[in-house]
Amino acid sequence: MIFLELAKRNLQLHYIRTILAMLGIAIGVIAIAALGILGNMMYLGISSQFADIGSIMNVNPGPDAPSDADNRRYLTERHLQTIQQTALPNPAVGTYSGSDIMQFRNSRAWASVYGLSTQDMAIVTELEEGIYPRSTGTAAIGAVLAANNNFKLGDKVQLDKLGYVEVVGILKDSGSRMSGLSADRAFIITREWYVSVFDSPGYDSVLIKLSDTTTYTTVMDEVQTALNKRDREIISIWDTSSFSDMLSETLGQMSMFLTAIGGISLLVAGVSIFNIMIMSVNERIKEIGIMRSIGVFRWEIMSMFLYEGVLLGIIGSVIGGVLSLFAGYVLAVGMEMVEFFFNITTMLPVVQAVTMGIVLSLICTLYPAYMASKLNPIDALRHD
Amino acid sequence: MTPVLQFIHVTKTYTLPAGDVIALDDVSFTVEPGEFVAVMGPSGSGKTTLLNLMGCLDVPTEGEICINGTSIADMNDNELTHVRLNTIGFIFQYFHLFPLLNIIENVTFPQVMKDKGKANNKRAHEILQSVQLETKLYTHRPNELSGGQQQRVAIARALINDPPLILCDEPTGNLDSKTGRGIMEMLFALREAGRTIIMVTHDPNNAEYATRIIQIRDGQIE
Ligand SMILES: Nc1ncnc2c1ncn2[C@@H]1O[C@H](COP(=O)(O)OP(=O)(O)O)[C@@H](O)[C@H]1O
Ligand SMILES: [Mg+2]
Repeated sequence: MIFLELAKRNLQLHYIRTILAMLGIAIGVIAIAALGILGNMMYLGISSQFADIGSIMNVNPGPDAPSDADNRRYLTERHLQTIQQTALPNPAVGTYSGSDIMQFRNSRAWASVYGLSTQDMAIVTELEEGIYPRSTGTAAIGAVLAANNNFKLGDKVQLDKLGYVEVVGILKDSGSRMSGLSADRAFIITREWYVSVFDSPGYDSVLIKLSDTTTYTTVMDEVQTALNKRDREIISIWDTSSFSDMLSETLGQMSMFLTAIGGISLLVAGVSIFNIMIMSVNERIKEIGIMRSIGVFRWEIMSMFLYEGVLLGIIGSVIGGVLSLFAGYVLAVGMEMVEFFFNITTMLPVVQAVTMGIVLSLICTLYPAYMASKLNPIDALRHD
Repeated sequence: MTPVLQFIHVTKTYTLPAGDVIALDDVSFTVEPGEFVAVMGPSGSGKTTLLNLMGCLDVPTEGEICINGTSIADMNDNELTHVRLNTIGFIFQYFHLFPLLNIIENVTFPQVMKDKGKANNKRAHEILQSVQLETKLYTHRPNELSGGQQQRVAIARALINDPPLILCDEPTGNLDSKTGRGIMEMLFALREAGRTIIMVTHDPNNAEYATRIIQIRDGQIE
């Protein structure tokens, strides 16, 4: 391994330019890896927020659905039954929705009211505390409504239409979920009470709870086919696949852009390695001539310079990889995304960037090393 | 006995944009084992060209060169490298030690190349002792040594693989006359130990150590 040793010693001899070249590679690797980590964390963060998106499918009345005197469209009991049959084994729940005005400590505020049967409530919402309402005069309320007004179990709230409502349950915060019941600021009451207070010809929405979110499109297609016959749009379902397509496309473009920036800095580092290796070869032409006269083969000369460039690349890239883990962690802490940092897909860009750094160093060393191996021994010996 | 070296009607032409330069013109001679040949001639007469051909660094334009009975005229780079590694020891005017290697490593370098293995430091010590280099210098780098010391290391490096042919290009050209005499006596001792040496020089004092002198002028042997 004399040629590896010679490569090491030459790097040590010219330590300033060695350090500079390693720094260049390290910066390139950090740029690619850190930006990759950033892109991945953002992707993971955003997609986790939308993970629930497909777990409940909202089936709303379409333009051709029946409507009441106020032009409010609704779905009938028969529609619900068709949906329930089509969606099996996924449960489908008919919901009523309206609004009322809440009177509380001398102020008045709008509040949503949902009506659905008690057993259906458990399908589309989750309780934080208390129980679901079973009778007239009781309600479960949304987490935000409870928190904002400091409502507790047992509190009685007065509303214009409903009158006094006793809070028997408080729901879990649904977070940023974009489908299902928007119950965070709402009163959830029994279907019977709702129908007796509000004038309601049919369901305002049907919710299908999917056991497997990947079946979203299939169920959507089946329900649409079952109800939207002869080009009549009785129901409309939000096509989440187009949304998630758009989301992943945007994120993909963003991470490509970030990687391109990192790639440019790595490319610059590659050029500097190329430069250094050309210098290294030119400084040592005479030495190459002596080696060749002693009986060193061309490929051995080539290997000596390849070792030198790849050694530069390995040390620079590994330093860059370690530093980019730190940089990524700092980013994760800053973006409050630490839970997404310790993740294989987040670590992957580091491995990729280090590999890229090493491979690039090898590529940038190939030509100078080849040039050195092709030198004519006589010309090399005459060189001064 | 097979001659160590045979030149048979060797011509070497360099093709330059200004026209061809005939560096060697129909040169024939033979060197037998144990000879100490001095090649002499004025500057530009073709001495270095001759040495490069003898050292298998180049092939002739015309004619035949045999080293230990093997023709090298049609060899490719790889084959020539093999011949150099196995049969030739070079000693240069400017010593040409490897600045990145210490003395022991410089001496063992050709042996490591030949054996494709570990350095034989024991043998390197023996040879360095035979060229009278102090042990304490063995781990020094070449630039810490005087010219005479460096040339002795170069001789040790040329000897480590026990080559049948030793080629020297002005071995004393860069040394003061006293040190130069020491080096010449060392080469003379090698010749007495049975080695074959060919030396290019234009110092007549050096030529006195040789058993034969080849005079060259305008690419031709006189
Ligand atoms: N590599 C080369 N390319 C072109 N011409 C050369 C080369 N080497 C030597 N020559 C020419 O060949 C002739 C002999 O040169 P050389 O062998 O170096 O002589 P010496 O060593 O006796 O001074 C000179 O005219 C020189 O210019
Ligand atoms: Mg010359």
